[in-house]
Amino acid sequence: MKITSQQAVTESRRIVLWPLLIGLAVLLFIVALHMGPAHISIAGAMGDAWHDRLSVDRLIFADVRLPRALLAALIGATLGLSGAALQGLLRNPLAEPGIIGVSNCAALGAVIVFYFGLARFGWFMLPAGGLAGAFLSVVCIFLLAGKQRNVVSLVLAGIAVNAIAGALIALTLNFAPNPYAMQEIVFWLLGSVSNRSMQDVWMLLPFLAVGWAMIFRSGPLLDALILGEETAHSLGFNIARQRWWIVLGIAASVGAAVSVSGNIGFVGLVVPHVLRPLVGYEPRRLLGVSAVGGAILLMLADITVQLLSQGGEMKVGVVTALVGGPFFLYLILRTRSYW
Amino acid sequence: MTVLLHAQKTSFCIDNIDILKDIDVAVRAGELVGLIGPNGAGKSTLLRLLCGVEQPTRGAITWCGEKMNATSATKRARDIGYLVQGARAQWPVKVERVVELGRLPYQGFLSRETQADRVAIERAMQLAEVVAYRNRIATTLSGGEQTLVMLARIFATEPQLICADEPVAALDPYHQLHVMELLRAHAQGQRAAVVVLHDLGLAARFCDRLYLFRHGRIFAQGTPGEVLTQDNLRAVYGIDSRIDCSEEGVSVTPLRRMAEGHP
Repeated sequence: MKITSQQAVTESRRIVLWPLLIGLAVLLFIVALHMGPAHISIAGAMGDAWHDRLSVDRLIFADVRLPRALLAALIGATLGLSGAALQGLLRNPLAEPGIIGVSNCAALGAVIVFYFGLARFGWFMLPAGGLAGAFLSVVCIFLLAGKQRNVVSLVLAGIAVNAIAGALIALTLNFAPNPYAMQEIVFWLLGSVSNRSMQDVWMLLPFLAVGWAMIFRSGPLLDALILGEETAHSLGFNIARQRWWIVLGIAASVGAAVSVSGNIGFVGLVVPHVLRPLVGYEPRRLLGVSAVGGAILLMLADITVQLLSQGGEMKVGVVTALVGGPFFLYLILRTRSYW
Repeated sequence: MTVLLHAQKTSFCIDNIDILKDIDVAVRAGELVGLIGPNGAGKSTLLRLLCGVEQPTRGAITWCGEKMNATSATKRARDIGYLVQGARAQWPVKVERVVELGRLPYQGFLSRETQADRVAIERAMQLAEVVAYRNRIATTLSGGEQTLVMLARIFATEPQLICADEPVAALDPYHQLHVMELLRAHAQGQRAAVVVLHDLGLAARFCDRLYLFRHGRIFAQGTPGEVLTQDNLRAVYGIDSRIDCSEEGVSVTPLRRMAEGHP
């Protein structure tokens, strides 16, 4: 009897967590749709869209509000999910796409596409650039940090990759054809989901779908890795192959996300860390909740940005970095005993 | 007795250096087989080959008459449990969750825990006597308790063969005996166990047969009484020792290092 009651407690906690997160996400999504300088009726705009009537409300809703809210949710979810997956894979709470240089390399890829005007070859060039950058960085980190579960070598490899990507971005800026191009790239790099369109959303979706599927597919492996790589191998998991699934999934989704939004750091670090105790530290269960949690955090950050800044708008990437940097320090202090 | 696991002329090289050379090992049903030898003699490597985590460079290993590398990963995972040396949970999850992971080879991507899974998990926890701390966090347990949890995880898989790499290293005598008794109890009927040991006394007490390794080769094999002789220990470990035979079995007391140094 004792057993069943304890299981019931765990079950009930699971049952509460999901509706809570989903409810919060939906609420923030609705709030996000209402943010903006113009006062429009969302219901009216949706009605106009439904009946195919042209109106200012509908235009603002469809071209400004909806893509912004959707991108915040989708990109936040991607960052939360890939943070959780990377931490599970490396069994290390400090791993995050931004910290180990994935985001910066994706940004570099996108900047190169910008800079050389490669975007004229098709809509897919920008996400492809981001994806290629992200992929290269993950490969570099795996080669540098190797198989060891060593935080120091991982972070050092990340620093190196980050520095190289930063230097190459600086090089591109250095040779920017004119100050305007430079300013454009710099602002883009800061990370934002404003002034995007539904076209960006459509461009992003296929990459996210593939990347997310690859990451979720690896859930059982992440659970098996609780026991370490050797034991996971003896449980029938082909680690070498499945590791690539996760890495490619992260590269695809983060690469595409960064190519739309620029650098938005620390979401993938903070979200899994906060949610991990609530799912009993189980890496597989952390994936789903981290995706929703990431969406919540980035929507919240984007709403905060819009509330704080009047006139010249603050970039959301700046806000997440301002909050996330100190949090990263705190994490290092907290987990020091761990390594 | 049927031979479950058979390694024939098995060699393993890293960078053209032979870690193991021409090893012949057979594990029969109902046997507890001990692998002993000095550090670096290749015992752990052989264990990794035997449970299919690593592939031999030359030679073949057969499991129930089937080539190991032709056996599907799932079947291998269900049939052979591997206890890694110093195995520890790497996230602070509950003990029960660690034991549940032993059922992964039976679960698909979407399948949920079945009745059979639950029965196996409960049985495994009772067998290894970890029921009392099923809700504690695995990483906060003592070394002995963590080893028992890892053993419970293997029992949950219900394997035919258990390969354990130094399961009693760094454990107190109570836990050493507990782990050895569990392995001994497992190796009955159609099941068997292979265990790497440094404690020659425990090896003598619990194992049916021993393989004594030196420099990647089998130096001696047979019953503990045949393998654990003063001459063998002198040649392999470079130690003088006293060997007593009593009702409780063979006991080995290392006395002093030999003047010639390590062989």
